[in-house]
Amino acid sequence: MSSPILTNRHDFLLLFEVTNGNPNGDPDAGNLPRIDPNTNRGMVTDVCLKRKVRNFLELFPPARESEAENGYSVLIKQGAVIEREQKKAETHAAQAVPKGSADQQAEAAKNWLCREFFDMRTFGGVVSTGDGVLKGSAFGQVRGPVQFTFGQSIHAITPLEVTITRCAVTKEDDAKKERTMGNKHIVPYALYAAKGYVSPAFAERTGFTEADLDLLFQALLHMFEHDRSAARGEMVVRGLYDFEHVGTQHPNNAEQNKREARLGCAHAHVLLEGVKVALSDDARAAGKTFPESFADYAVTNTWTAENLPRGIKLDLRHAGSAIGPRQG
Amino acid sequence: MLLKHLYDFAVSRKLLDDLAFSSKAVRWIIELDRHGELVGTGPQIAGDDKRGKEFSCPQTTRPKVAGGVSEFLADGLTAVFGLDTDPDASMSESKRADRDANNLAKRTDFWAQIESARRAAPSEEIDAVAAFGSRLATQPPAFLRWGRATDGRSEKSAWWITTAGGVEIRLGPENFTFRVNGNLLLEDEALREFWRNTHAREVADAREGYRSGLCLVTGSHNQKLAPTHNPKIQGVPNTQSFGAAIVSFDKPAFGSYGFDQSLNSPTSDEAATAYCVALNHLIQRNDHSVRIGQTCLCFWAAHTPIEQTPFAFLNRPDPKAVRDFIRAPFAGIERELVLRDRFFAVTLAGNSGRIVVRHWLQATVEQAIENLQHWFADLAIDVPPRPPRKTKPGGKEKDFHPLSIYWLACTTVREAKDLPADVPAQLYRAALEGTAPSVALLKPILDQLHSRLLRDENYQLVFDESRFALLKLILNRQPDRPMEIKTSVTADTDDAAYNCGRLLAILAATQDKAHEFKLEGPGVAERYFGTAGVSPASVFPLLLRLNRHHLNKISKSERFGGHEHFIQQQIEAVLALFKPPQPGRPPAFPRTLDLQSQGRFALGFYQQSAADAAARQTNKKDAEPAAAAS
Repeated sequence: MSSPILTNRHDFLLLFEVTNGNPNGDPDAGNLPRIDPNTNRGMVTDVCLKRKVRNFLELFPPARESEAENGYSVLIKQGAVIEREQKKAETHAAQAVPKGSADQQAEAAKNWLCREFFDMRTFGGVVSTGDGVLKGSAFGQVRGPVQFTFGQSIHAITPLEVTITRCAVTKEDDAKKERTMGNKHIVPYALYAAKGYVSPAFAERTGFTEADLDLLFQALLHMFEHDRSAARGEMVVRGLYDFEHVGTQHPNNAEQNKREARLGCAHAHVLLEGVKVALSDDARAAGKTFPESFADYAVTNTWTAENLPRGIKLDLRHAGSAIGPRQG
Repeated sequence: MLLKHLYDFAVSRKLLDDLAFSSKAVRWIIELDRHGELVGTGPQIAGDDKRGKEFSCPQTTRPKVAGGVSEFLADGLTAVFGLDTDPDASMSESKRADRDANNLAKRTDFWAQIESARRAAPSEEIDAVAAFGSRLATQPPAFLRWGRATDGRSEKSAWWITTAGGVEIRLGPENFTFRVNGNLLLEDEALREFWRNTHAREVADAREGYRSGLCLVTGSHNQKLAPTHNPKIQGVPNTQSFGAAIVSFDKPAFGSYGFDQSLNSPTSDEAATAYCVALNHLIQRNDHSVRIGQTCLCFWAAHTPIEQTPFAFLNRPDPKAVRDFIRAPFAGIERELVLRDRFFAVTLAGNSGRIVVRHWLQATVEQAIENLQHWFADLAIDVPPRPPRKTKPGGKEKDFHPLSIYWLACTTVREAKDLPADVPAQLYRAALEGTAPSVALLKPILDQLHSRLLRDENYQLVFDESRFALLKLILNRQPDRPMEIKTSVTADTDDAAYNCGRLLAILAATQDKAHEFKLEGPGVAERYFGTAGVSPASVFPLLLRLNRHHLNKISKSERFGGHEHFIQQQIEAVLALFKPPQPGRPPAFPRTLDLQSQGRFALGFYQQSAADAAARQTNKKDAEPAAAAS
C-alpha cells in the first residue's frame, strides 16, 4: 500500500458561512432552513456536510493506482442501489475466502466495500441487510473513522421568506390561469461551525489512510465551490482548524509517540474551544447585535506555538500554515 | 389465596364432577361385528381434522411417567397393538429389551382393563372387543404395515394403516377406539359407569399412600396431601405441551425441613386437583382468558358467570355495545349480587417447567365494571361516520374493533408483529384496574402518526379512531394534565398546544378548499405537522402568511367564494385564545412543546379535522370525498 493507514488522532473545526441562501432545508417544515427552536440558531446536519464531501469526490476522484489500492468510488450517491454493491462485495468475498465461515466472508465483504468506496471507508455505513452473508452480521455495521457533528450557527438566525412568481405554468390545463406564485426561504447571513473527529482506531478497521485524510480536507475546503446553487446562495468555507495529535515524546521515543498519537494528547473540546468567534469590536461599536457579513466577526485563534497543549500540532488548512507542536 | 379462589371457582362451577373423563382426539375407529371380526379392510377415520375427532374419553390418574400404563378404551398404537412406534430406531440391546417389555406391559394393561370391564359390565359389545383383542395376541392386524411408502416418495420407514375404504395412510401419533354393532363403546353408559368407579378407586388407592396433614388451600386438618399437583396446566406460553405446574419443588434445594416435593406447601390432593382443573378450564375458554404476547391473562368472577359481565367484550367491543355499556354499565346485572361478588384476574407466564404468576388483581366486580366503564368513557372520541371499508389490515371486517386492546396497542408500532408484550399488558391493567398507561407510549403513537401522514397514501386520519382514542385516554389519565380532552373538539380551552393543533387543521382545510379538494402531493398538514407539533413558534407565523393566499384564492373561486369570511372568523377565534406572554404584547405561539403537549397538539388537530369532516358530511352541498379532506 502506497499510503499508510492513519495513525494520529485529529479533531477539526470547520467554519462556513452562508449569504442569502438556505444551507440546509427541513423537509418537516416546508424546507425552512433548519433551526433550533430553543435558541433560534441555525443548524446544518452532518449528512448535509457529508453529502457535499461525497459530491466533490464524485466530481474529482483521484486516479486509482491499482486494484489492490484504495478506490475512490462513492457508495451513497444519487440513484445508487446499495444492495447491488453489497451483492458485488459478497461475490468478491466468496472468491477471496471460498472456504471461510460466514463471519470470515462477511468480513471480507466489508473489507472489499471499504476498499472500493471512499465514503464507506471514511464515514462508515450500514450494509447488514439483504439476504447474503452480510445480513445481520456485525461486519455489516461499519463505524467510520471520520465523524461530523451538526453545524450550528454562531448567532441566532432570522430566515426570510421570499415570495417569487413564475411566468410559466406546468400543465396544459392551467395555461389560461394566473401565473403561479411560490416562495423560498433564505438566511440573510450566518456563520456556522461544525466539528469533526478522526479516530485512528476505527481507521485501522476500514483501511482509512493518510492520503484519504488529505483528500477529505481537500474536499472540505472546496466542497461549496462545486456545489453552487441559487437556492444555497453564497457559501464559503472560512476556516478549517485541524488539530493533529502527534505525541509528546522526543522523536527518538517513536513507539510511545505512536501510542500517544493514537490515543490523543488533549481533550478535543479544549482544543476546539481555543478558536473563538465573536462579533468584532467594530461591529459592536456600530451597534450591531447580529452579524451582517463575515466582516462583522472576529475569529481569534488563541493557540500559539507557546500555549498549544504538548503533543498537538495545529494545521490551519484554510491558510496553509501550521502551529506547533510545542517543543520541549 | 390465588389457589383458594381457583379452588372455589372449580367447586362453584361444578368442574370436579366428571374428572374421570376428559376431552381427547381419536382418529381411528375400529368397527367390529358381534363376533369381534373387523368390518371392512381397516379402521374408519373419525372427523375431518388430522388429529381426529374430540371425544369424552376415560382418563386415568395412575402416573404414566414410569410407563406400562394405558388409557381405558381409547389409546395409541403401542397400547392397543403392543407395537413400537419405531421398531428400527437404533439403540443398545438392553434398551431395546426394556422398550419391548414396556410395550408389552402397556398392551397387557390395555386389554386387562377391557377384561375387567367385561366382568363388571358384561355386554355383547365388550365381548366382541375382548375377542378381537385375544386374536391380536397371536398376530398383528393386517391393516398395519411397517415399511417405506409404496409410491417411493419417502425413503424413511413408517407405520402405514389401511383404512376401511382401502386406502393406505401414514399413521401419526393418533388414538384408536372401538365401535361394535354401530355403538361407540366410549359412549356406552354402562362402561362409563364402570370407569367412574374404577377412577374413584384409582384416586382412593393413590391417596391411600399419601401423608395426611393440614391443607393450606382449604384450611382443613387431616387431609391426604398431594405429593405433586395434577393435572398439569396446559396452554400457558413458553411451557411444554403436556403442561406445567404453578406449585412444584422438583429439586432438594427448594425443600425445607426435609419435606419432599409439594409437601413443602401442603395441599390436599382434592384441592390441588381442583385448582389445576379450574385454571385449565379458564385458559381454554375464550371469554375467560386472552393471550398477550408471551403471557396469558385469565379473569373470572367468584359467582357471576362471565357471560353476564361486560368483561367478555373487552377484546371485541362493538361500538353499540360500548355506547350502551358506558350509559348503563350495570344493565342486566343484579346489582346486589355484583356488590358482594369479587373479580379476579391473573397474568401467567411460562418458565419452561414452571408457571410464573406475573400479576394478580383482586377487586369487587362492581369496582372492575366501573374501571371498565371509565376505560371506555376515556377512550370515547367522536369520529365522523365512516364509509364502509372493503379490506382491513390483517383481518376481516367483523374482526375490526378500533377500541379493542389489540388495535389500540397496534397504534404504537408499524406492524403488528413488532408489538412488544408489555404494551397490551399495560392496557389491560389500565382497563381492569383503572391505572394510567405510561406517557412513554405517547412517543411511538405520535411517531407512527407522523410517519403515516407523510408516507402512507391510504392513511385516513379522521377515521383513525384507535390512535386518538388511546391518546385521549393516556392524556386524560395523567395526574398533572392541564386540560381534559372531551369526546369532541373543545372550542374554548386556552391550552396553547391543543389550539395550535386546531389551527393547523383549519389551515390545512383552507388549503384543501383553495385547491377545490383536489390537492395533489403533500399539503400544509403533511409538510409542517412535524415542526408545528414540536416548535409551533417557528412555523405558524409563516403558515398564517401563506394562508392569506389560500383565502384569496377561495374568495375568487366560483364554488366556494364567500367562504373565506367564515374561515377567517374561525382562525381569529382560535388565535384569540392564545395568551400574550406579557399584558399588552401580542399573543405568542409556544416555542417548544413537551411530550404531553405534543399529544394535545395531535388531538387538537384530529378533533378539529374530524369536526370539519363531520360538518362536511352533513352539509351535502359541500360534501366531498372524505379522502380529500384527510
